[in-house]
Amino acid sequence: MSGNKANGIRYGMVIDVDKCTGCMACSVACQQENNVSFREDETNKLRSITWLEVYSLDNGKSYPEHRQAYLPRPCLHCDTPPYPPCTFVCPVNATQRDEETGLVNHIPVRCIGCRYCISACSYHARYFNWWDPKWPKPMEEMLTPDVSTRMRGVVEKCTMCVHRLQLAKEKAFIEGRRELHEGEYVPACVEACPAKAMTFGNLFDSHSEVAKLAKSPHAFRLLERLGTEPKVYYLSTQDWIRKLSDNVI
Amino acid sequence: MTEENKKHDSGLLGWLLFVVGFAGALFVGWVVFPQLLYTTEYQPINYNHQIHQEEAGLSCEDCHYFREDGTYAGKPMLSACVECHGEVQGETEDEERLVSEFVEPEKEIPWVSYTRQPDNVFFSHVAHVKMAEMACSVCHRDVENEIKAPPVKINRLTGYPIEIMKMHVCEDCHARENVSNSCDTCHH
Amino acid sequence: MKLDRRAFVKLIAGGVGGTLLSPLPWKLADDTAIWTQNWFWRPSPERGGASTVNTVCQLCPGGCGISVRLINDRNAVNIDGNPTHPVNQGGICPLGAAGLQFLYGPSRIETPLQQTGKRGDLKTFKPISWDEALQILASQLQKMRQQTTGLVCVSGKSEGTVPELFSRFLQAYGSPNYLTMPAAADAQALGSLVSQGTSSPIGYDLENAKMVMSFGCSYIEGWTAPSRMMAAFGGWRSQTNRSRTRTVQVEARGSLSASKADEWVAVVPGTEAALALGLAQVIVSEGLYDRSFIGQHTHGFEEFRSLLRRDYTPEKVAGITQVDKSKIVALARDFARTKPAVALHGLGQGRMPGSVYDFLAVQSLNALVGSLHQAGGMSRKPQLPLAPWPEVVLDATSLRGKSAPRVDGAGGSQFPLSTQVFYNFVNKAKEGRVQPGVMLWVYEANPVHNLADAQSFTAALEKMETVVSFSSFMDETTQLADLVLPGPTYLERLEDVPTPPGLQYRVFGLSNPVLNPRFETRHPGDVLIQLAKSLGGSVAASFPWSDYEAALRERVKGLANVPSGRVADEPGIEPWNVGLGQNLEPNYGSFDELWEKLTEYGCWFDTSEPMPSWDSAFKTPTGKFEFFCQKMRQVGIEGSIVTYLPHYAPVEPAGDTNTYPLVLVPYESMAITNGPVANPPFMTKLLFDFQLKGNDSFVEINPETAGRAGLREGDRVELQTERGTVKVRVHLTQAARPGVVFIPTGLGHTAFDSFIKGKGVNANEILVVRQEQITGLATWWDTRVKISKI
Repeated sequence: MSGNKANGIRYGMVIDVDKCTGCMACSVACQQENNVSFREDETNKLRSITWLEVYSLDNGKSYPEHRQAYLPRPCLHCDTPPYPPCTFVCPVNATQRDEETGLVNHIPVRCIGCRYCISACSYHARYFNWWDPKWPKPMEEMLTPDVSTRMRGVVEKCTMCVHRLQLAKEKAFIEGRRELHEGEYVPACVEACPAKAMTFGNLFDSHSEVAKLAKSPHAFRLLERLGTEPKVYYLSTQDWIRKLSDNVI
Repeated sequence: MTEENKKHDSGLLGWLLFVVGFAGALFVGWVVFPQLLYTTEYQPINYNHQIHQEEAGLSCEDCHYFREDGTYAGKPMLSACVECHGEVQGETEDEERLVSEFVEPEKEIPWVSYTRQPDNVFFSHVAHVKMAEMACSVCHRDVENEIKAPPVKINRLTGYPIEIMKMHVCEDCHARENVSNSCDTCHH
Repeated sequence: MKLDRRAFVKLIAGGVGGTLLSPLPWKLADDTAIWTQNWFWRPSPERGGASTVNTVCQLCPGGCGISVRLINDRNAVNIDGNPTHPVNQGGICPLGAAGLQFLYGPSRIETPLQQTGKRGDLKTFKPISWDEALQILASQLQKMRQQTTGLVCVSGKSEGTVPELFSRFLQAYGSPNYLTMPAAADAQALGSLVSQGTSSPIGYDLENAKMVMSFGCSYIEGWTAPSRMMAAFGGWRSQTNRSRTRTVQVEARGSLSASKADEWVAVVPGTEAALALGLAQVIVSEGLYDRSFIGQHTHGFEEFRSLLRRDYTPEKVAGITQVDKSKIVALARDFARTKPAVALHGLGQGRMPGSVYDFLAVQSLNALVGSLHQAGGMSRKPQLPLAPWPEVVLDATSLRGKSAPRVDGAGGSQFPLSTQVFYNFVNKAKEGRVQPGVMLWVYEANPVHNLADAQSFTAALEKMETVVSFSSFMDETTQLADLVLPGPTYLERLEDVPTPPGLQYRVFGLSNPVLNPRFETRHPGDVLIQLAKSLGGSVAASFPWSDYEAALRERVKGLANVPSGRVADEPGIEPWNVGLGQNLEPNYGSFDELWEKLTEYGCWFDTSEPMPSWDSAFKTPTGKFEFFCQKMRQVGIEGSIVTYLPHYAPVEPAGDTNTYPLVLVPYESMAITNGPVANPPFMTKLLFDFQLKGNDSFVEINPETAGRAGLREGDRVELQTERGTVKVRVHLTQAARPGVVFIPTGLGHTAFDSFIKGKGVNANEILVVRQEQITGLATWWDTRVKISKI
């Protein structure tokens, strides 16, 4: 991992696939939190925007040895040195990794919609706005001002709810602190999870829950062999899940 | 007239025209264009900063304060006005209109912003004012003794007020002060 | 002087030069760049101060605490779980997280409506004022009161002060016909009544159980209180020591509940209870049962033992369920030796009553291993110590109504045990066998879509003289109403949310309005009080409150009068660790303080109701837990000895196996809601493209079954049952049992908004409902079906 490990911050997530009940509250909470648009027909999954996509896995065995599991996949905020694949290819600097937090951002107003980053991402974590987002009139009132809405022709993706980081910082500042306590900044998906399958925090802080879990013998990352160094870890004791998660996405 | 003279003549005229064109363009570019580019918008009612401080004894923080969660309240909502102006107190026409047009129908006052940023820009006042100890007047006009709120010039093309700060100003200072210039510091 | 070409060029050159030295091009270019980023046509939400208001979700009976984020105290922009609420511990389910899509949904009803044309024609709904609406209703009720049984009320909620007010109104008015939507709780109430002497709902101490065996319950997919179950599951999976809680799922489909269990026992659909009896037989014959409990506190064990020995040997049960004999034996031993172990009842999410014997079978397993009324076992959901309202004032008419036979025949000679027989009402009404002039009220329910055999309810509705809906949304049932009295949504109204289903401790949730009602809606509680007042006489006297809030406060006073209980005001409260029977020091001094704290945090809880002592636990004729249910005999149910014992009594699926060679089983999941509201866009969006594609929904079948029928992935098929036909596509999966077709419920809406209307088919249209002979309880778990390619 890049960055200064001694006192740096690398926000990351651990998702316990064995605890996940597949309810998708994470993905719904994400849509509400980030003003993700929705259309009448979202069944063409190549055109559908879900920052946190839930994948369906199965062990490929016959009834009744068959088992299924759901795998929630936010943007993995790759710590690839020196650049994540997606930011490396952006011709207009619309996406970068913040080296102070490790979060990979994407600024839609700057994006020209070339979609190079989408093809560079190994995890299908980036989405293109094929249409202008539209909300039925009354539903515009439920949009949050914390995240600006997008337009057709630009890319968008999970930001780890970076606006929540900024809000947490403002709270700390008013209290005269520069440091955040663990748990003050948590993305919407993690907060929503009813089974507490998701943990978020600073991977560089060895006392943090997330750092401990990431070192578990059951921890793994998606397509680890690519060397993208994702900062989202998964936990599972099931071999088939560990194996499949390297292929399914 | 000789041919030469003719030539000379037209040359003179040519240069004259050049100067006319040059001056005209400068005039258009420096004088007419800004006039055309900006519209002038007036505040729905006048707010007299001075009188509120001197006579009502309000301090800046009574209206422009940090909320408990560290966010900045900016311009006050109507509810702050209603605390005193539930009924007409003085004799100004603006106050009368405040009560009849906004307080009574419970309608928020559509103040025109002097420093409106687009909705993808998130400026943290607490980071600048409290942590970096910057004075308000670094970015905003000094309103302490202001009697009449000035009109706002709005760019027709961008919709931004003329006083808006541009991103390179932010970036320069952030670079100087060794503060993060990552996009998501301000944009999300 | 002539302006020649050269001069002209000079003029232009001057102009260009001047322009370049002016700000015009540079400013214009810059502004244009900014303009391209100025996306004025998409919404730019209003900024302002954020606040959070705690309340309780009411989208299902799960009773989760939620925190709603508001901007400028006006616009609700987010719903999160409330971390101080013990039920969901800060978590939230997808439906709860999408709650704002209901508040701001396009299918909200904005004013009272009167149908002026043909029923179902949305164009002829006329907006009317509340005064007008109440006057229309009151005068009609006044007229009808001569024949008092003519008012029927269907409530989607079974507990809480608003359903109580509805039931109270019917009593005061003089009608015995208060019905709640059918549910597994119906069978549980009857089962508890006959075996334990009380019909209170079931509670499970799951957080303290070491083994959880679910008989067909979608225990992490919406069964009982969904978020509580998911939190409990997360808790079990967090235990790292060797004695961590293990789960066993008995189910025909390889659902998430099955896949996530430590063991999945695949059975023939509908034979879950037979497996329970098979386990019971092994436990009894191997002497693994709790001898002291069975010896001292049960009645009829010997009869039960002989029945088990005769009919439920592992061989026989293996034949019924198609589970290996050795597996049955191993499961039984495991279940008996793991302490505490608990068996769960209620197929799917618990929306189907099923047979009372299925419940008795599962309950007997809990009794045998000594898990009844024990920590980590199956108990009763404790009652809330709410203060009673004054007695209903009865006049001659309401007294007559009280003793009149119910429209569904419950409590009569055919169904002496039952308190309601929903489908009897449906069938009688459909066939025109109820008296003319019936007025039907529908509250928090959408039976036209949600009831199995949906067409029958629609047909029954046609026979109703007047249909009144109290819904906030234009759902299928409301579309067919004559009068619509829209209520505010749960985020705009005050209401109590009593202990969620399946809980072992007391919870009283208070749902607060987080914002002002957006439309001209009125709280159903207030509507009933106003209606009662305009009817006058004893009806008005039965509703002495000024408004709903006064009525609610009166009941809540009871909480302040008991010496135990707390308002949940800090995160991480785990009542199950306090231990049942422990008193909690109240953190309020008076009712006013309690009310204030309740409105701030939303939840009161209490653990003081002890596990009953054995002398008082059972209110049966013998004072013991009765395997042999004497109550059944007392009320006049006749039959052989088996009739009174837990046994496997399947109601055969309709249709012959030659015409309908496959079995159709509905399945419920967290992805599609089955409640009175339709799936919100956020959730529908997340359905996989093998669940919904365009407007086509999919059924799951095993590749082997598909191969025999010549079907490939995605093929369009027609499903035909005795009830009807629907067109779907097939998804081939090994999660499906060979020979079984699994159909998702909750799709196929013909109402609501364009985000859900017309998507998929409604499974309820082809499910065949059968009724249990002695109770009239409905079963629709397995239906014979024919699948043909189109």
